[in-house]
Amino acid sequence: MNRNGLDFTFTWMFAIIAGAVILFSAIYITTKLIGSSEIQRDTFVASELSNILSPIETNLEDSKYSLIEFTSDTRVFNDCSNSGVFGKQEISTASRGSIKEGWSKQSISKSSFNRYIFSREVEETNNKKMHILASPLNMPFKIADVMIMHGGNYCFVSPPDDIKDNFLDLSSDGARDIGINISSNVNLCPQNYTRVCFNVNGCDINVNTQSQVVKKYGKESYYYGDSLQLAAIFSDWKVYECQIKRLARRAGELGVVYKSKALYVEGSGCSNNLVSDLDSFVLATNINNSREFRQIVQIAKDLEESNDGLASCKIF
Amino acid sequence: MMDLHHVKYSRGQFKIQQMVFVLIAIIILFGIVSVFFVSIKFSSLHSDVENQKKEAVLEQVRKMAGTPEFVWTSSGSCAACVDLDKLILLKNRTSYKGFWKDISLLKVSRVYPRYQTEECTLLNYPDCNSITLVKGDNYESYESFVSLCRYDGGIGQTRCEMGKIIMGFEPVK
Repeated sequence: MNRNGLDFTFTWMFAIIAGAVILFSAIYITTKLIGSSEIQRDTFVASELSNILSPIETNLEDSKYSLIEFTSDTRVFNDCSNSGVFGKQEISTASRGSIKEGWSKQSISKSSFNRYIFSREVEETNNKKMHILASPLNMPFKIADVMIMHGGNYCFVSPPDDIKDNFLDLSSDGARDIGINISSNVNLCPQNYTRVCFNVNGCDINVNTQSQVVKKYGKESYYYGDSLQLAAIFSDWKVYECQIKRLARRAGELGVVYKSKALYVEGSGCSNNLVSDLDSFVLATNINNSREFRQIVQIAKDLEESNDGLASCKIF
Repeated sequence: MMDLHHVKYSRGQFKIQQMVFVLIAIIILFGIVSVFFVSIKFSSLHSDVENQKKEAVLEQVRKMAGTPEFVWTSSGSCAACVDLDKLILLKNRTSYKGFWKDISLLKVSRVYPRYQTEECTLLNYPDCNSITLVKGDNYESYESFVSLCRYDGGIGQTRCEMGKIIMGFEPVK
Protein backbone atom coordinates (compact mmCIF):
# COMPACT_ATOMS: atom_id res chain seq x y z
CA MET A 1 0.00 0.00 0.00
CA ASN A 2 1.32 3.46 -0.88
CA ARG A 3 1.30 5.44 2.42
CA ASN A 4 2.06 8.71 0.67
CA GLY A 5 -0.90 8.25 -1.63
CA LEU A 6 -3.27 7.49 1.27
CA ASP A 7 -2.00 10.50 3.20
CA PHE A 8 -2.49 12.78 0.21
CA THR A 9 -6.01 11.49 -0.43
CA PHE A 10 -7.14 11.84 3.20
CA THR A 11 -5.70 15.36 3.61
CA TRP A 12 -7.31 16.51 0.41
CA MET A 13 -10.63 14.92 1.31
CA PHE A 14 -10.55 16.61 4.71
CA ALA A 15 -9.61 19.96 3.15
CA ILE A 16 -12.35 19.66 0.51
CA ILE A 17 -15.05 18.79 3.09
CA ALA A 18 -13.94 21.54 5.48
CA GLY A 19 -13.65 24.04 2.60
CA ALA A 20 -17.09 23.10 1.29
CA VAL A 21 -18.62 23.51 4.76
CA ILE A 22 -17.01 26.95 5.15
CA LEU A 23 -17.99 28.01 1.63
CA PHE A 24 -21.59 26.88 1.96
CA SER A 25 -21.87 28.47 5.42
CA ALA A 26 -20.55 31.75 3.99
CA ILE A 27 -23.03 31.61 1.08
CA TYR A 28 -25.91 30.72 3.44
CA ILE A 29 -25.03 33.51 5.90
CA THR A 30 -24.62 36.06 3.09
CA THR A 31 -28.00 35.09 1.58
CA LYS A 32 -29.64 35.37 4.99
CA LEU A 33 -27.98 38.74 5.59
CA ILE A 34 -29.14 40.05 2.23
CA GLY A 35 -32.66 38.77 3.00
CA SER A 36 -32.73 40.35 6.45
CA SER A 37 -31.29 43.64 5.17
CA GLU A 38 -34.01 43.67 2.49
CA ILE A 39 -36.68 43.15 5.18
CA GLN A 40 -35.02 45.86 7.28
CA ARG A 41 -34.98 48.27 4.32
CA ASP A 42 -38.61 47.52 3.44
CA THR A 43 -39.66 47.93 7.07
CA PHE A 44 -38.07 51.37 7.02
CA VAL A 45 -39.88 52.14 3.79
CA ALA A 46 -43.19 51.15 5.46
CA SER A 47 -42.34 53.30 8.47
CA GLU A 48 -41.30 56.23 6.25
CA LEU A 49 -44.51 55.86 4.27
CA SER A 50 -46.51 55.97 7.48
CA ASN A 51 -44.64 59.13 8.56
CA ILE A 52 -45.09 60.76 5.15
CA LEU A 53 -48.85 60.25 5.38
CA SER A 54 -49.08 62.53 8.46
CA PRO A 55 -48.45 65.83 6.65
CA ILE A 56 -50.82 64.72 3.89
CA GLU A 57 -53.71 64.67 6.37
CA THR A 58 -56.15 67.52 5.89
CA ASN A 59 -56.82 70.34 8.25
CA LEU A 60 -59.32 72.76 6.75
CA GLU A 61 -58.80 71.63 3.18
CA ASP A 62 -61.49 69.84 1.17
CA SER A 63 -59.02 67.42 -0.36
CA LYS A 64 -55.30 67.05 -0.91
CA TYR A 65 -53.12 65.25 -3.41
CA SER A 66 -49.58 64.00 -2.92
CA LEU A 67 -47.22 61.98 -5.04
CA ILE A 68 -44.84 59.61 -3.29
CA GLU A 69 -41.79 58.45 -5.20
CA PHE A 70 -40.03 55.31 -4.08
CA THR A 71 -36.43 54.40 -4.83
CA SER A 72 -37.46 51.07 -6.34
CA ASP A 73 -40.63 49.35 -7.52
CA THR A 74 -42.61 48.74 -4.37
CA ARG A 75 -45.63 46.79 -3.26
CA VAL A 76 -47.58 48.24 -0.36
CA PHE A 77 -49.60 45.72 1.64
CA ASN A 78 -52.70 47.26 3.17
CA ASP A 79 -53.92 45.25 6.14
CA CYS A 80 -57.01 46.34 7.97
CA SER A 81 -58.27 44.71 11.12
CA ASN A 82 -61.37 45.36 13.20
CA SER A 83 -60.01 44.08 16.49
CA GLY A 84 -60.00 46.42 19.47
CA VAL A 85 -61.94 49.65 19.94
CA PHE A 86 -60.72 51.47 16.83
CA GLY A 87 -59.48 48.58 14.73
CA LYS A 88 -56.02 48.72 13.25
CA GLN A 89 -54.37 49.87 10.04
CA GLU A 90 -51.19 48.04 9.14
CA ILE A 91 -48.91 48.75 6.21
CA SER A 92 -45.92 46.80 5.07
CA THR A 93 -43.90 46.82 1.87
CA ALA A 94 -41.89 44.61 -0.44
CA SER A 95 -39.57 45.86 -3.13
CA ARG A 96 -38.15 44.58 -6.35
CA GLY A 97 -34.50 44.24 -5.44
CA SER A 98 -31.51 45.16 -7.55
CA ILE A 99 -29.50 42.18 -6.29
CA LYS A 100 -32.10 39.43 -6.39
CA GLU A 101 -34.67 38.87 -9.10
CA GLY A 102 -38.33 39.20 -8.12
CA TRP A 103 -39.95 40.67 -5.04
CA SER A 104 -38.45 40.69 -1.59
CA LYS A 105 -40.32 39.19 1.36
CA GLN A 106 -43.06 41.26 2.97
CA SER A 107 -41.60 43.58 5.59
CA ILE A 108 -42.63 43.94 9.20
CA SER A 109 -45.76 46.06 9.33
CA LYS A 110 -46.23 49.52 10.77
CA SER A 111 -49.54 49.88 12.53
CA SER A 112 -51.74 52.78 13.56
CA PHE A 113 -55.20 53.18 15.04
CA ASN A 114 -56.05 56.59 13.62
CA ARG A 115 -55.33 56.10 9.92
CA TYR A 116 -57.67 54.84 7.20
CA ILE A 117 -55.98 53.87 3.95
CA PHE A 118 -58.21 52.82 1.08
CA SER A 119 -56.42 50.83 -1.60
CA ARG A 120 -56.10 47.36 -3.01
CA GLU A 121 -54.84 44.76 -0.54
CA VAL A 122 -51.56 44.81 -2.47
CA GLU A 123 -51.02 48.14 -4.20
CA GLU A 124 -48.11 48.34 -6.60
CA THR A 125 -46.25 51.46 -7.62
CA ASN A 126 -46.29 52.50 -11.24
CA ASN A 127 -42.90 53.83 -12.36
CA LYS A 128 -41.97 53.84 -8.65
CA LYS A 129 -44.79 56.31 -7.99
CA MET A 130 -47.76 56.12 -5.66
CA HIS A 131 -50.60 58.63 -5.70
CA ILE A 132 -52.32 59.71 -2.48
CA LEU A 133 -55.64 61.51 -2.28
CA ALA A 134 -56.75 62.67 1.15
CA SER A 135 -60.11 64.14 2.04
CA PRO A 136 -61.92 64.58 5.34
CA LEU A 137 -65.01 62.60 6.20
CA ASN A 138 -67.48 64.90 7.91
CA MET A 139 -70.57 63.19 9.34
CA PRO A 140 -71.50 65.82 10.59
CA PHE A 141 -68.27 66.50 12.48
CA LYS A 142 -64.88 65.45 11.19
CA ILE A 143 -64.46 61.73 11.76
CA ALA A 144 -61.16 61.09 10.02
CA ASP A 145 -59.20 61.58 6.85
CA VAL A 146 -60.01 59.15 4.08
CA MET A 147 -56.69 58.36 2.42
CA ILE A 148 -56.82 56.84 -1.02
CA MET A 149 -53.62 55.25 -2.25
CA HIS A 150 -53.25 54.03 -5.82
CA GLY A 151 -50.51 53.26 -8.28
CA GLY A 152 -52.30 54.93 -11.18
CA ASN A 153 -53.57 53.77 -14.57
CA TYR A 154 -57.24 54.48 -13.96
CA CYS A 155 -59.56 55.68 -16.68
CA PHE A 156 -62.75 57.43 -15.53
CA VAL A 157 -65.43 57.37 -18.21
CA SER A 158 -67.72 60.41 -18.12
CA PRO A 159 -67.54 61.06 -14.38
CA PRO A 160 -69.99 63.50 -12.75
CA ASP A 161 -68.97 67.16 -12.91
CA ASP A 162 -68.06 67.43 -9.22
CA ILE A 163 -65.57 64.54 -9.51
CA LYS A 164 -64.17 65.94 -12.76
CA ASP A 165 -63.76 69.38 -11.17
CA ASN A 166 -62.11 67.87 -8.11
CA PHE A 167 -59.59 65.98 -10.28
CA LEU A 168 -58.91 69.11 -12.33
CA ASP A 169 -58.23 71.06 -9.13
CA LEU A 170 -55.96 68.35 -7.73
CA SER A 171 -54.06 68.00 -10.99
CA SER A 172 -53.71 71.80 -11.40
CA ASP A 173 -55.92 71.70 -14.50
CA GLY A 174 -54.20 68.65 -15.90
CA ALA A 175 -50.63 69.93 -15.49
CA ARG A 176 -49.85 67.28 -12.88
CA ASP A 177 -50.30 63.55 -13.38
CA ILE A 178 -52.53 62.18 -10.62
CA GLY A 179 -52.73 58.72 -12.18
CA ILE A 180 -56.28 59.18 -13.47
CA ASN A 181 -57.35 59.73 -17.09
CA ILE A 182 -60.74 61.18 -17.85
CA SER A 183 -62.38 59.92 -21.01
CA SER A 184 -65.75 60.44 -22.66
CA ASN A 185 -65.88 56.91 -24.06
CA VAL A 186 -64.82 53.47 -22.76
CA ASN A 187 -63.11 52.70 -26.06
CA LEU A 188 -60.88 55.75 -25.72
CA CYS A 189 -59.35 54.43 -22.49
CA PRO A 190 -55.71 53.32 -22.89
CA GLN A 191 -55.06 49.58 -22.74
CA ASN A 192 -54.24 47.99 -19.35
CA TYR A 193 -56.02 50.83 -17.58
CA THR A 194 -58.68 50.06 -14.98
CA ARG A 195 -61.87 51.51 -16.47
CA VAL A 196 -64.43 53.16 -14.21
CA CYS A 197 -67.93 53.80 -15.59
CA PHE A 198 -70.57 56.06 -14.06
CA ASN A 199 -74.24 55.09 -14.37
CA VAL A 200 -73.51 52.75 -17.28
CA ASN A 201 -72.19 49.21 -17.26
CA GLY A 202 -69.34 47.68 -19.22
CA CYS A 203 -66.28 48.74 -17.20
CA ASP A 204 -64.08 46.97 -14.64
CA ILE A 205 -65.66 49.17 -11.99
CA ASN A 206 -69.21 50.45 -12.33
CA VAL A 207 -70.55 53.27 -10.21
CA ASN A 208 -74.23 53.93 -9.74
CA THR A 209 -74.50 57.46 -8.39
CA GLN A 210 -78.28 57.16 -7.89
CA SER A 211 -78.19 54.20 -5.52
CA GLN A 212 -74.65 55.16 -4.36
CA VAL A 213 -73.16 51.77 -5.06
CA VAL A 214 -69.80 50.81 -6.53
CA LYS A 215 -69.78 47.41 -8.22
CA LYS A 216 -66.36 45.88 -8.59
CA TYR A 217 -65.57 42.31 -9.61
CA GLY A 218 -69.06 41.15 -8.60
CA LYS A 219 -69.01 42.78 -5.15
CA GLU A 220 -70.99 45.82 -4.11
CA SER A 221 -69.71 48.61 -1.87
CA TYR A 222 -72.09 51.25 -0.58
CA TYR A 223 -70.89 54.79 -0.10
CA TYR A 224 -71.92 58.18 1.16
CA GLY A 225 -70.37 61.37 -0.19
CA ASP A 226 -67.57 62.05 -2.65
CA SER A 227 -64.64 60.91 -0.51
CA LEU A 228 -66.16 57.49 0.19
CA GLN A 229 -67.20 57.14 -3.45
CA LEU A 230 -63.57 57.42 -4.51
CA ALA A 231 -62.53 55.20 -1.61
CA ALA A 232 -64.90 52.47 -2.84
CA ILE A 233 -63.59 52.82 -6.40
CA PHE A 234 -59.91 52.55 -5.51
CA SER A 235 -60.01 49.89 -2.79
CA ASP A 236 -60.66 46.19 -2.68
CA TRP A 237 -64.05 45.23 -1.27
CA LYS A 238 -62.48 43.62 1.80
CA VAL A 239 -60.36 46.67 2.63
CA TYR A 240 -63.27 49.05 2.04
CA GLU A 241 -65.70 47.15 4.26
CA CYS A 242 -63.12 46.87 7.05
CA GLN A 243 -62.20 50.57 6.93
CA ILE A 244 -65.86 51.58 6.88
CA LYS A 245 -66.46 49.61 10.08
CA ARG A 246 -63.40 51.27 11.65
CA LEU A 247 -64.64 54.72 10.59
CA ALA A 248 -68.05 53.98 12.13
CA ARG A 249 -66.40 53.02 15.41
CA ARG A 250 -64.35 56.23 15.44
CA ALA A 251 -67.54 58.16 14.72
CA GLY A 252 -69.18 56.41 17.66
CA GLU A 253 -66.34 57.29 20.03
CA LEU A 254 -66.33 60.91 18.84
CA GLY A 255 -70.11 60.95 19.23
CA VAL A 256 -69.69 59.99 22.89
CA VAL A 257 -67.16 62.81 23.38
CA TYR A 258 -69.45 65.35 21.68
CA LYS A 259 -72.38 64.14 23.80
CA SER A 260 -70.32 64.75 26.95
CA LYS A 261 -69.41 68.18 25.57
CA ALA A 262 -73.07 68.97 24.87
CA LEU A 263 -73.92 68.08 28.48
CA TYR A 264 -70.93 70.01 29.81
CA VAL A 265 -71.67 73.27 27.95
CA GLU A 266 -75.34 72.94 28.86
CA GLY A 267 -74.19 73.06 32.48
CA SER A 268 -72.35 76.31 31.65
CA GLY A 269 -75.61 77.90 30.51
CA CYS A 270 -75.33 77.04 26.83
CA SER A 271 -78.55 75.28 26.04
CA ASN A 272 -78.67 72.75 23.19
CA ASN A 273 -80.88 69.78 22.50
CA LEU A 274 -78.27 67.58 20.91
CA VAL A 275 -77.86 64.94 23.60
CA SER A 276 -80.63 62.60 22.42
CA ASP A 277 -79.61 63.03 18.76
CA LEU A 278 -76.02 62.24 19.67
CA ASP A 279 -77.23 59.17 21.58
CA SER A 280 -79.02 57.93 18.45
CA PHE A 281 -75.94 58.72 16.38
CA VAL A 282 -73.72 56.64 18.68
CA LEU A 283 -76.17 53.72 18.57
CA ALA A 284 -76.33 53.88 14.77
CA THR A 285 -72.55 53.60 14.45
CA ASN A 286 -72.69 49.93 15.46
CA ILE A 287 -72.64 48.56 11.92
CA ASN A 288 -71.65 45.36 10.15
CA ASN A 289 -71.18 46.54 6.57
CA SER A 290 -71.11 49.56 4.26
CA ARG A 291 -74.84 49.26 3.50
CA GLU A 292 -75.58 49.85 7.19
CA PHE A 293 -73.17 52.78 7.25
CA ARG A 294 -75.77 54.78 5.35
CA GLN A 295 -78.13 54.51 8.33
CA ILE A 296 -75.86 57.00 10.11
CA VAL A 297 -76.28 59.50 7.27
CA GLN A 298 -79.80 60.69 8.08
CA ILE A 299 -79.05 61.05 11.79
CA ALA A 300 -75.86 62.95 10.89
CA LYS A 301 -77.86 65.32 8.67
CA ASP A 302 -80.39 65.95 11.47
CA LEU A 303 -77.55 66.55 13.90
CA GLU A 304 -75.91 69.03 11.56
CA GLU A 305 -79.15 70.92 11.15
CA SER A 306 -79.75 71.10 14.91
CA ASN A 307 -76.16 72.19 15.56
CA ASP A 308 -76.25 74.88 12.84
CA GLY A 309 -79.32 76.34 14.52
CA LEU A 310 -77.36 77.00 17.72
CA ALA A 311 -75.92 80.50 17.54
CA SER A 312 -72.95 80.74 19.90
CA CYS A 313 -73.42 77.34 21.49
CA LYS A 314 -72.38 75.09 18.62
CA ILE A 315 -70.99 71.78 19.78
CA PHE A 316 -69.08 71.02 16.59
CA MET B 1 2.69 0.93 30.33
CA MET B 2 2.91 3.40 27.44
CA ASP B 3 5.26 6.35 27.81
CA LEU B 4 3.38 9.43 26.64
CA HIS B 5 6.63 11.28 25.96
CA HIS B 6 7.51 8.79 23.35
CA VAL B 7 4.19 8.58 21.41
CA LYS B 8 4.91 8.81 17.73
CA TYR B 9 2.44 10.68 15.56
CA SER B 10 2.02 9.72 11.93
CA ARG B 11 2.40 12.42 9.26
CA GLY B 12 -1.32 12.16 8.49
CA GLN B 13 -2.31 12.81 12.12
CA PHE B 14 0.02 15.78 12.24
CA LYS B 15 -1.54 17.23 9.08
CA ILE B 16 -5.07 16.78 10.48
CA GLN B 17 -4.01 18.56 13.66
CA GLN B 18 -2.53 21.36 11.58
CA MET B 19 -5.74 21.60 9.56
CA VAL B 20 -7.90 21.72 12.70
CA PHE B 21 -5.80 24.58 14.07
CA VAL B 22 -6.15 26.47 10.80
CA LEU B 23 -9.92 25.84 10.78
CA ILE B 24 -10.29 27.04 14.35
CA ALA B 25 -8.26 30.13 13.47
CA ILE B 26 -10.49 30.80 10.44
CA ILE B 27 -13.67 30.33 12.50
CA ILE B 28 -12.37 32.68 15.20
CA LEU B 29 -11.46 35.24 12.51
CA PHE B 30 -14.95 34.92 10.97
CA GLY B 31 -16.45 35.26 14.45
CA ILE B 32 -14.54 38.46 15.17
CA VAL B 33 -15.45 39.93 11.78
CA SER B 34 -19.13 38.95 12.31
CA VAL B 35 -19.25 40.53 15.77
CA PHE B 36 -17.69 43.70 14.36
CA PHE B 37 -20.16 43.73 11.43
CA VAL B 38 -23.20 43.07 13.65
CA SER B 39 -22.19 45.79 16.13
CA ILE B 40 -21.84 48.35 13.30
CA LYS B 41 -25.14 47.22 11.80
CA PHE B 42 -26.96 47.46 15.15
CA SER B 43 -25.56 50.89 15.95
CA SER B 44 -26.83 52.22 12.61
CA LEU B 45 -30.17 50.42 13.13
CA HIS B 46 -30.43 52.03 16.57
CA SER B 47 -29.99 55.55 15.17
CA ASP B 48 -32.29 54.81 12.21
CA VAL B 49 -35.11 53.67 14.51
CA GLU B 50 -34.63 56.71 16.73
CA ASN B 51 -34.73 59.01 13.70
CA GLN B 52 -37.92 57.33 12.49
CA LYS B 53 -39.59 57.80 15.88
CA LYS B 54 -38.48 61.42 16.02
CA GLU B 55 -39.69 62.08 12.49
CA ALA B 56 -43.07 60.50 13.29
CA VAL B 57 -43.55 62.77 16.33
CA LEU B 58 -42.40 65.89 14.45
CA GLU B 59 -44.83 65.20 11.62
CA GLN B 60 -47.69 64.45 14.00
CA VAL B 61 -47.22 67.41 16.34
CA ARG B 62 -47.66 69.77 13.37
CA LYS B 63 -50.94 68.14 12.36
CA MET B 64 -52.36 67.28 15.78
CA ALA B 65 -54.55 70.41 16.01
CA GLY B 66 -56.41 69.26 12.89
CA THR B 67 -57.27 65.76 14.12
CA PRO B 68 -60.96 65.08 14.94
CA GLU B 69 -60.29 64.67 18.66
CA PHE B 70 -58.45 68.01 18.92
CA VAL B 71 -59.95 70.26 16.26
CA TRP B 72 -62.13 73.23 17.22
CA THR B 73 -65.00 73.67 14.77
CA SER B 74 -67.70 75.33 16.87
CA SER B 75 -67.08 78.88 15.65
CA GLY B 76 -65.79 79.10 12.11
CA SER B 77 -62.67 77.64 10.58
CA CYS B 78 -59.46 77.76 12.52
CA ALA B 79 -56.51 75.62 11.44
CA ALA B 80 -54.59 75.79 14.69
CA CYS B 81 -57.40 75.86 17.24
CA VAL B 82 -57.78 73.07 19.75
CA ASP B 83 -61.07 72.27 21.49
CA LEU B 84 -60.15 72.25 25.17
CA ASP B 85 -63.64 71.15 26.28
CA LYS B 86 -63.35 68.01 24.18
CA LEU B 87 -59.88 67.22 25.50
CA ILE B 88 -60.82 67.39 29.18
CA LEU B 89 -63.74 65.04 28.47
CA LEU B 90 -61.51 62.79 26.39
CA LYS B 91 -58.92 62.55 29.14
CA ASN B 92 -60.93 60.03 31.15
CA ARG B 93 -62.10 57.93 28.21
CA THR B 94 -60.49 54.52 28.63
CA SER B 95 -61.26 53.65 25.01
CA TYR B 96 -58.62 56.15 23.91
CA LYS B 97 -55.91 54.45 25.93
CA GLY B 98 -53.20 53.42 23.47
CA PHE B 99 -54.92 55.24 20.60
CA TRP B 100 -51.92 57.47 19.92
CA LYS B 101 -49.44 54.76 19.10
CA ASP B 102 -45.69 55.19 19.71
CA ILE B 103 -46.32 58.42 21.60
CA SER B 104 -45.05 58.55 25.16
CA LEU B 105 -46.17 62.11 25.88
CA LEU B 106 -49.22 63.95 24.62
CA LYS B 107 -50.11 67.07 26.47
CA VAL B 108 -51.81 70.37 25.85
CA SER B 109 -50.57 73.27 27.92
CA ARG B 110 -51.72 76.85 28.34
CA VAL B 111 -48.99 79.42 27.72
CA TYR B 112 -50.95 82.52 28.74
CA PRO B 113 -52.71 83.25 31.08
CA ARG B 114 -51.30 80.84 33.66
CA TYR B 115 -53.24 79.46 36.62
CA GLN B 116 -51.97 78.13 39.93
CA THR B 117 -53.15 74.57 39.34
CA GLU B 118 -51.05 72.72 36.84
CA GLU B 119 -52.93 69.57 35.78
CA CYS B 120 -56.58 69.83 34.80
CA THR B 121 -59.28 67.57 36.20
CA LEU B 122 -63.04 67.79 35.74
CA LEU B 123 -63.18 69.52 39.15
CA ASN B 124 -60.70 72.35 38.55
CA TYR B 125 -61.26 72.84 34.78
CA PRO B 126 -60.91 75.43 33.22
CA ASP B 127 -58.80 77.14 35.94
CA CYS B 128 -55.76 74.96 35.25
CA ASN B 129 -52.84 74.84 32.85
CA SER B 130 -52.40 71.40 31.29
CA ILE B 131 -54.35 68.42 30.05
CA THR B 132 -52.18 65.31 29.79
CA LEU B 133 -53.58 62.55 27.61
CA VAL B 134 -50.52 60.29 27.46
CA LYS B 135 -47.55 60.22 29.79
CA GLY B 136 -44.79 57.65 29.75
CA ASP B 137 -41.67 57.53 31.90
CA ASN B 138 -39.01 58.50 29.44
CA TYR B 139 -39.47 60.81 26.47
CA GLU B 140 -37.95 63.39 24.18
CA SER B 141 -40.54 66.05 23.43
CA TYR B 142 -41.43 68.58 20.74
CA GLU B 143 -43.93 71.43 20.82
CA SER B 144 -46.26 73.25 18.48
CA PHE B 145 -48.05 76.48 19.36
CA VAL B 146 -51.84 76.53 19.03
CA SER B 147 -54.93 78.37 20.25
CA LEU B 148 -56.84 76.67 23.04
CA CYS B 149 -60.54 77.35 22.61
CA ARG B 150 -63.51 76.59 24.87
CA TYR B 151 -67.00 77.81 25.61
CA ASP B 152 -66.86 80.35 28.43
CA GLY B 153 -70.18 80.49 30.31
CA GLY B 154 -69.06 83.68 32.07
CA ILE B 155 -68.97 85.72 28.87
CA GLY B 156 -71.46 83.53 26.99
CA GLN B 157 -69.16 82.91 24.04
CA THR B 158 -65.99 81.24 22.86
CA ARG B 159 -62.71 82.08 24.55
CA CYS B 160 -59.39 81.23 22.90
CA GLU B 161 -56.07 81.43 24.69
CA MET B 162 -52.48 80.83 23.73
CA GLY B 163 -51.22 77.30 24.25
CA LYS B 164 -49.10 74.52 22.89
CA ILE B 165 -49.30 70.85 22.07
CA ILE B 166 -46.40 68.86 23.46
CA MET B 167 -45.62 65.44 22.03
CA GLY B 168 -42.84 63.09 22.96
CA PHE B 169 -41.42 59.78 21.89
CA GLU B 170 -39.49 57.24 23.88
CA PRO B 171 -35.84 57.13 22.79
CA VAL B 172 -34.44 53.72 21.88
CA LYS B 173 -32.56 52.20 24.84
